[in-house]
Amino acid sequence: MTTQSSYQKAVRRRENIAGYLFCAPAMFLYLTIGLYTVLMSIIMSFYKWYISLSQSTFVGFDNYTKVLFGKGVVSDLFYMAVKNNIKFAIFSIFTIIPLALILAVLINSRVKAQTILRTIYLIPMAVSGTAIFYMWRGIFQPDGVLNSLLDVIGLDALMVADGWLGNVDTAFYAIVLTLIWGGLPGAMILYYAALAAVDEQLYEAAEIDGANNFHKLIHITWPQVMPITVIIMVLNVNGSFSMFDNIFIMTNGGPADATQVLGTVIYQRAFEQAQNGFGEASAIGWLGFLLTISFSLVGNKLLRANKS
Amino acid sequence: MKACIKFSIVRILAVSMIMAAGFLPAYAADKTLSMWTWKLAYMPGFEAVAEAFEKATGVKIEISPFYPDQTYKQKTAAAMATGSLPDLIHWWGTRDPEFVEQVVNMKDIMTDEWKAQFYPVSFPAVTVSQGDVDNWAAEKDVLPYKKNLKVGDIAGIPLDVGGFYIFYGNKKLIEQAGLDPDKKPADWEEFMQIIKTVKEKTGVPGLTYGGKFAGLWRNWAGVGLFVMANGPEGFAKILKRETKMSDPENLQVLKALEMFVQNDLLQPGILNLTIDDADAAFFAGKAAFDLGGSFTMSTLIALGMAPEDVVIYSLPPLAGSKHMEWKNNPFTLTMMSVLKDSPAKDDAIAFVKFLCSPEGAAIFASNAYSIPAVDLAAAGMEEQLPEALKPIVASFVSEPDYFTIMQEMDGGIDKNWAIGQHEEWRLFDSGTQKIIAGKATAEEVAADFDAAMEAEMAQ
Repeated sequence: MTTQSSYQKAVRRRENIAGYLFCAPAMFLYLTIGLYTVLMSIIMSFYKWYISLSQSTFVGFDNYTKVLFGKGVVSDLFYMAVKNNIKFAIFSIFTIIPLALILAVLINSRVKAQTILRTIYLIPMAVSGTAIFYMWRGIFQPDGVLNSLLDVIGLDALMVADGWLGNVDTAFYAIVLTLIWGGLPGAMILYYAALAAVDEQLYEAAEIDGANNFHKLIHITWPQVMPITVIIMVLNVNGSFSMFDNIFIMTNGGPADATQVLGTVIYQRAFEQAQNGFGEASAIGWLGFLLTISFSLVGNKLLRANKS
Repeated sequence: MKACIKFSIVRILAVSMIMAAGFLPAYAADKTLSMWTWKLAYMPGFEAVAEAFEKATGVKIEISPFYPDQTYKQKTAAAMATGSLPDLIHWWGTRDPEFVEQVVNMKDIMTDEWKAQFYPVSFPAVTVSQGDVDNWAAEKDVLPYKKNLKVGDIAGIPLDVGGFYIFYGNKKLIEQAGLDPDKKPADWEEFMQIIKTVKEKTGVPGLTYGGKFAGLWRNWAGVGLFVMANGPEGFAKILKRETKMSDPENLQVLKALEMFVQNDLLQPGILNLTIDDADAAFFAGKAAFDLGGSFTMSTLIALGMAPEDVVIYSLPPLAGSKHMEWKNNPFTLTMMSVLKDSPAKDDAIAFVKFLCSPEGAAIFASNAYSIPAVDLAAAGMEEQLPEALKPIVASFVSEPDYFTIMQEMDGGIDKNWAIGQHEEWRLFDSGTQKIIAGKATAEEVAADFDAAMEAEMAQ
């Protein structure tokens, strides 16, 4: 018995060592590329940056105070971008969550063409983001698919002459539409998995008590999937605060800064505007990170409160 | 156990070596120089010159375009930091690119004989002047490398010249509207009338340009209107923050843009158009006029537009301007720089010398449809310039352009430096988009500009 135990321990030790060795290259890459770039970004944010550390000027917290408390253009831009990020988060949460839940309930029920519907709902996840953003750009053009469709179905009063992305009033909502389209599949899958774990007996008991589908959705399904709802909310907030490629491709933060977000402001400060670009851009990036972390912590507290 | 660990180590080493191979630089056995650019429209020109150079010297030039502009700037910024710039860098014409300390100071290889082959106006844009040195010395937060630059330093050899402030018109639409396309508008108001008439008679929207880029109107038209309206000395005042945007002499420039909006003369959706989208829309007949520069012709021709279907109007002045004619003073649009630490530096310099010689410039011009900085007429090779470019070249004047005058006068200022440094110009740019979107008037944008200027000065 003792011999077997020693043998098992030796095998486990060999496997552990082999496991660590296999992880070693990935860890090495992460530490050198991942962690290094993060540390450099933090350091840059305290400098008026030019090419390398030795040629840059240490400015302490100047970049941060200029962004947070300055009365100039950079500060205004930062707060405008944060406001837009928050608005995108709110709009996407309050549309994606209910829509995803309803779709998940639909595909979870024994409807006809359930498999086909599931496939259709998941298409946005399978398509390359960059390609799809260019496609959306085309859809929103003055003579694009959306305006043409509205014209054909007799809703020409809703057409936007400048195109949905070229109009200050509609550009934001056009982007929200793309967020919903892109965010629904992931949220739907999470809800679909959560619904599978809901005890069927709860629904049976409710039916006996005379509950209809709506009552079951509100009083049984919704409370049961609350933990997943919090996760989806946190993911959407994180996603909204890290938006860049869709805005960059579709509007570049315009028209007239209507769709500026932290990602586009960081990019423009780093590469298009100021010569101290990298330092300021890094400071804005880290302020955005702190905001996102704060929201995530709130989300985690909600989740724990819900579990208890 | 030992065998298991040994096998694991072997596997890990094998994977690491395969991965490291991707990070190792490729050493070419033959002589191949690397060159970067962002100008897709110039690629036929570069490739034609590179082919001729390879035939003569056996040295190959591998040209990589990175499009659009922002991607190229991002790429070179990263390369600067990692020391991986290419042998040859195509860049915007400037005296103080951020990589200036990593490239050959062309002052050291320039000769009087070679310089005499260029348009005289080519060199101020790429040569450090006393005014530059004085400005940088006085600047509070100047970047360290600028303090090391000396009078006469040259960051790159001028490749092509030209300018902005050009309106391209669709000749057929102008004729269809019953107007004479060869009659140039005397001033801005007359230009507005031409565009209105074309729209009324043909139904085609008036003007297009890359409105997605907030600064484009300022860069390609606004600044020209400022200078003609108030003279270089007047424009210098707003750059030096000595006058306000809401002062009538400056406000009129914003109001000139507002006229397009009030008369509904802009292409719908203009705020979502890139420069290429706008050129394509002009080519497709979706707009009667396209705001561009001398380089726009190469794009239009690449799209398939016949040069004889295009009329060219220089920027018309506002009524009552101090200067009633935009003198088409060309300036250096782009330049060629050579990496100081290039293992094939001499070959790279030889390529630049060839590209920027009359022979090379003629090959470049006829393939890229861009006006070379080398004066082909002075070299007796004007017949090699494409027909479409000859009218633009014929309109060139040789006296210093307004911006050079502005820089070199007493208390002068560099336009690009001032606009880059002063944040209120960012509000000017986004303000032009607000005017187009109907969300602000010229007066409101000017008020925001003045408030931002005061806030920045107070900081």
